[in-house]
Amino acid sequence: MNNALEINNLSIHYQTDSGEVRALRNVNLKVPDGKVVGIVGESGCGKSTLMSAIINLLSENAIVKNGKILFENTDILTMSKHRLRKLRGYDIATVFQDPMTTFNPVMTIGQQLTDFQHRFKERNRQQKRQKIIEMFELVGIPDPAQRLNQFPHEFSGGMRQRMAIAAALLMNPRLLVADEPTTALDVTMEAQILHLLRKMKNDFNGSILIITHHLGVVAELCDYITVMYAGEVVEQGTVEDIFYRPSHPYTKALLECDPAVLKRKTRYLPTIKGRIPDLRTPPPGCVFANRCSKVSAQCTQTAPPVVDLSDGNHWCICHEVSK
Amino acid sequence: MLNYAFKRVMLGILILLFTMMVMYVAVYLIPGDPAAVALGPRATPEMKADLLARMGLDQPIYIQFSSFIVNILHGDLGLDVWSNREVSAIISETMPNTMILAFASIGWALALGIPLGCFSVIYRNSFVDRIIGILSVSFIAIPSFVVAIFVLLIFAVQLRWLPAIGAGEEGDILSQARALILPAFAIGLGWVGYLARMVRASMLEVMGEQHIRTARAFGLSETRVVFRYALAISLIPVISLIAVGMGGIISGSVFAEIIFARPGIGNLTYNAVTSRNYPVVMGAVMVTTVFYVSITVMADLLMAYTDPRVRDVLK
Repeated sequence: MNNALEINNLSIHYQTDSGEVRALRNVNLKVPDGKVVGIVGESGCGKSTLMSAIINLLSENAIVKNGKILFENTDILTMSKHRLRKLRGYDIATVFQDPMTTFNPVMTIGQQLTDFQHRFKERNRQQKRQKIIEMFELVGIPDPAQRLNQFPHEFSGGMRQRMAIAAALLMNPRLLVADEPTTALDVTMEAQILHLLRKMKNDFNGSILIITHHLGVVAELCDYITVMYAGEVVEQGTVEDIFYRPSHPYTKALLECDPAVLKRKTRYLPTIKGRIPDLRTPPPGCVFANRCSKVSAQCTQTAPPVVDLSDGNHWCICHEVSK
Repeated sequence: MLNYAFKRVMLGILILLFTMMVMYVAVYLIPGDPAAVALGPRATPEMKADLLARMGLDQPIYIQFSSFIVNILHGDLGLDVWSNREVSAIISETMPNTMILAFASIGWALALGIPLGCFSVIYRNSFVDRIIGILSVSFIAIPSFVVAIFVLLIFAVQLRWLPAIGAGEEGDILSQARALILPAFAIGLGWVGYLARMVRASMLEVMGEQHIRTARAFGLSETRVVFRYALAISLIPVISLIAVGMGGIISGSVFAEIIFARPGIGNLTYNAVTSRNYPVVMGAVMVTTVFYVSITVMADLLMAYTDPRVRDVLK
């Protein structure tokens, strides 16, 4: 099977006044054609850095230490400016996290979404607007034709989020990268958007890389799951592997924290105790050691090995599992 | 929006009234007897009293001020003490010259300063950015009257390319335009630098916003992102800066008009103050204040118009 996107050994650091923050370390990830891959992990684990790297829009203080991001066998990180512009928004479309700030406040929605279709030379202005109207109907924006002439602040957060998704779907991309696409939506709308994303996958044979906190979204939509912790991939596998046969202690802890799986009434929602280590000086051993319930002396000293659990499809990095 | 515009205009009128009052008191407090200055040391007390009575200066100050305001409302700015001409006539002859100079100065500064600021952002932290930065700061640092004297010496006196004095032949647009070049250059130069720096700073802030990342993530070119997506937002604070700066431009035009012997409100005010020609001083100050206040009101309205978020709040 071909991969729409392949990330090999990617390490990205941020240069800050108080030292180098090692935000991503040796990340490996594959997004097969026509599949949906979910990245889960708590805040600060490097999900958004990974997303910015995929479209080569890292902030100016980011340094790519090593690794490649391959799209159609070309490394995105070393692509020419010209090729990058075709990649962004045409090959790879993105939905960003915060719908409130995702659109330009002084331009109408119609102007912006028409602009975003600049790669589609065969569509004239009228056709571009027609496409937006169709897409808005699909994502559930009422009165799309009138609303094209409105400014972003005239829409609710949920509507803006849907418009952001509509903008990405307008591109009919090979790969859709979505950062928390349903966080700002209510449950009904979320279900509609998930349905829409699945439809996009089926109808256009596009791949989706979805970044989320929401395990329900992952279970609904994804074929593969990558669990990230403190800038590293700690476990990877199919959706069944992760939900039914989680191996890494972090994955297990994360699943236990999902309010949806709680069986008994509690006063406090379960959490994973402790904090992410300081990424300026990541520990020499396992990054999860300080919060792990099964920690041993070995965990704090040597880096954990990669443990293959099923022919390279499901693997994790852990001393405990390797035993 | 209309309601807002009305409020802004009313505020402008209040500012105007207050300025006139301050100006009136200031002129009143200037030491020296206007009659003595006007008539010379050998004037008799009767001649002085006669002149003061003709100018209405023997009345108490509040009466003088209220009759002054009433006269203004009738379009009467009083008479020139020396020539006995209507002040309003003198001002309507000179004011257009100053307005042309002010708009020409800020106009070319905008036309050059804004693109320079944008290019600084497109090529930020590069060689181009540094060169623009050094030039801008130098332009800001040189006082406009120094620039005026140097361009006068170089282009008018040495090279004889452009006229040194005057505002050009009446009715001859080409000659008027040629006479405008040097003073407008001198006044506007500092503004080129100022605007370039302001636009750069303001735009760099905008460039850090999320919606710019969205525009880039959809493959729009950097030039398009800067000029179409960031510029309009970056210019909102610059509009108010320009409006405030119009005051500086008008005072800059005093120097430029004196150096280039250009008829204009700055030149007129200067001569009127030195010869204690109070009606002319008051008239000139009032007209420049009206000019300045209307520019600020227009800037406020323009800012509200540029930003749809503000526009809606003001509905």
